[in-house]
Amino acid sequence: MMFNIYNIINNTPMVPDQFWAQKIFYLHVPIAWTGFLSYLIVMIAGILFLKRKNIFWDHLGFAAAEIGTLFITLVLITGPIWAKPIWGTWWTWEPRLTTTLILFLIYIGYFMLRAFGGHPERTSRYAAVLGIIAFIDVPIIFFSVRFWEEKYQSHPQVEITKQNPEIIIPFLISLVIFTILFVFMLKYRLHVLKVIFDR
Amino acid sequence: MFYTLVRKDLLLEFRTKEIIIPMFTFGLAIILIFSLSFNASQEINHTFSPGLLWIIILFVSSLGLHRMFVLEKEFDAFTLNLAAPIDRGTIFISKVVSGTILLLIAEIMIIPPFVVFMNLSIPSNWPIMMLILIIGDLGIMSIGAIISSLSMRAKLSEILFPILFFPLVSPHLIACVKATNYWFKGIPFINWQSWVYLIITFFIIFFLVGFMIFDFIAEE
Amino acid sequence: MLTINNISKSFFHRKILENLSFKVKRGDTIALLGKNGIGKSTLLRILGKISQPDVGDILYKNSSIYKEKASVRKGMLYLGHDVGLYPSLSVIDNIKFACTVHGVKVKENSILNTLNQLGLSKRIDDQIKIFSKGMLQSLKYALADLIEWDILFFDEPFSSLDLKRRKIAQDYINQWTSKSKTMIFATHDPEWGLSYCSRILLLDDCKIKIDQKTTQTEINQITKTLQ
Repeated sequence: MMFNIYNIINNTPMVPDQFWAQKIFYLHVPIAWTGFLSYLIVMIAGILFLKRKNIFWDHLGFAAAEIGTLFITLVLITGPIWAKPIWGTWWTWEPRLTTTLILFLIYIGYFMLRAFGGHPERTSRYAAVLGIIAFIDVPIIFFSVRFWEEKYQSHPQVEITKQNPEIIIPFLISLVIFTILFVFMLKYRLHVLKVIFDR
Repeated sequence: MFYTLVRKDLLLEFRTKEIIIPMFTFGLAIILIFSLSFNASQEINHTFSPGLLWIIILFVSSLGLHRMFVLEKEFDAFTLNLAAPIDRGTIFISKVVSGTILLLIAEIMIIPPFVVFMNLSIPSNWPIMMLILIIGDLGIMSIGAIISSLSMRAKLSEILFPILFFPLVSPHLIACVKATNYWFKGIPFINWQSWVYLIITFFIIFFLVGFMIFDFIAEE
Repeated sequence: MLTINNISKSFFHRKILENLSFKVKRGDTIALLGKNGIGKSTLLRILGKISQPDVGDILYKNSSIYKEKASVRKGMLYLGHDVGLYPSLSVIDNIKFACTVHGVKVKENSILNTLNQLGLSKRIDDQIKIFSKGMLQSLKYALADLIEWDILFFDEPFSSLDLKRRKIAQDYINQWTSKSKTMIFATHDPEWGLSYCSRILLLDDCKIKIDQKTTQTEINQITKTLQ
């Protein structure tokens, strides 16, 4: 992790018209990727829980939802920081941002359902269902916002990565490191949930 | 069997009038609040009335959905449906259909005052708008029936329901508002048909998901 | 008739039922006994497919009620703690609806006949929300009389009944027993169970502690556990 940040600060080239702001790209995109990955895991765990009724899948879904929401919150913080110098505004109703925000709101509801659901067994089942429909909603939200915002914002970083190996290699390193971090957090959280459950 | 369930929901509403009357008065109240708080000129009214219409429909439908499932909870009446030899999917479809019928009735009552108070002129090809309303309502009710049966047994169900429902239904709302907007401006259907397809897609997806998944959420 | 295979149910940390298995034969009249909160109602709700067990399966007439279509459950009737009817509908509407969802067609005459026996015939157009507990309890007997069932799950058959209604209720149960119908009653009254049922199931510590014919059971065997 430390190595990753050091690498980003010192060893990556400055993009001509973005300067330091562009550095956040190495954090923002991997964090977003990890967030969506964990929500995908919530859905898969939900399906498996409904099928197998094994408490492990419930724990996995819960842990992934928590970590995913943490990462998505970070995305919502780093996004505006990056957007301000480049697009000139903190927030635009751009498909990815909007999708992320809506997903964030759904998951706030997810945790409320977990907290206020009543019987734990039923709550697990309901949370699994919500995890599934939340992820099904993702592509629909994305496409409808994309149609909705006709002056579609370009993503400058995407084209840059295609051109410059000096950028893409640290980016990939960062991506891998964040995914590994996610797996460790998930394992740790799963262990905690299991201990609490067994007690 | 499906017919019996829908008939029961409508009969319940006919006896209690606990759903449509609150939906109607609540809708009127929102129209009033909006007209008073913006005090806008006619052009501005014209630009945001499609959005406003769907906001009203959404609020009104969440009120109706919540009420509909509370009626099932009193005296534990929902157990009768669960214990009877009926597939859970059928219960879900009946809820969607009867919810849509009630919502449509409320809309028919709300839209005339809406048009009058907002000073709107209606384009001539209104059958398309009817279609948008019907499919839009079906979509809202499909996701709404899933969410309200998730939240009906929870504590704080009246708060939990909108918190879960509004973000999930937001893409559907965008599509409905857009389609209504184009229709309202009198743009030919060919130019904005993709929005109607999006509404239909949303409805079909969540209708199928609800049909398959209702087994897991109906039971305690 | 009914085979229960390894049913477990827990409310998070607390186990309610653990690996419960038993068989119900045609003509069994079972008294399900146990302390308050031991899981009698939960078990009945699982059998009625209102509640889901964590694991386990239930076979009714050799088909699984979890894996197969809902129509295999035809012939099961569940009467719970609450009456399970719509408070804002009238007695007659409620009964008609309940019969239709259970796949039974009834004539208006037979409904009136049954309500007459239960002393409710003057109230058929009243909304049931104004009914007293005892009247609601009698309504359950009307349902059980009108719906044709092969197996009945009845939670607390005599709660809130006054003496007159209790006698009517007992007459109904005797009538079903004489037709050797299959019934499971969850009850708090071991003496009633011993005198009117053919089999005792005693729940304790998430398990079935006693499962035997009433003729072989001594009352103090049961009361010891219940205390």
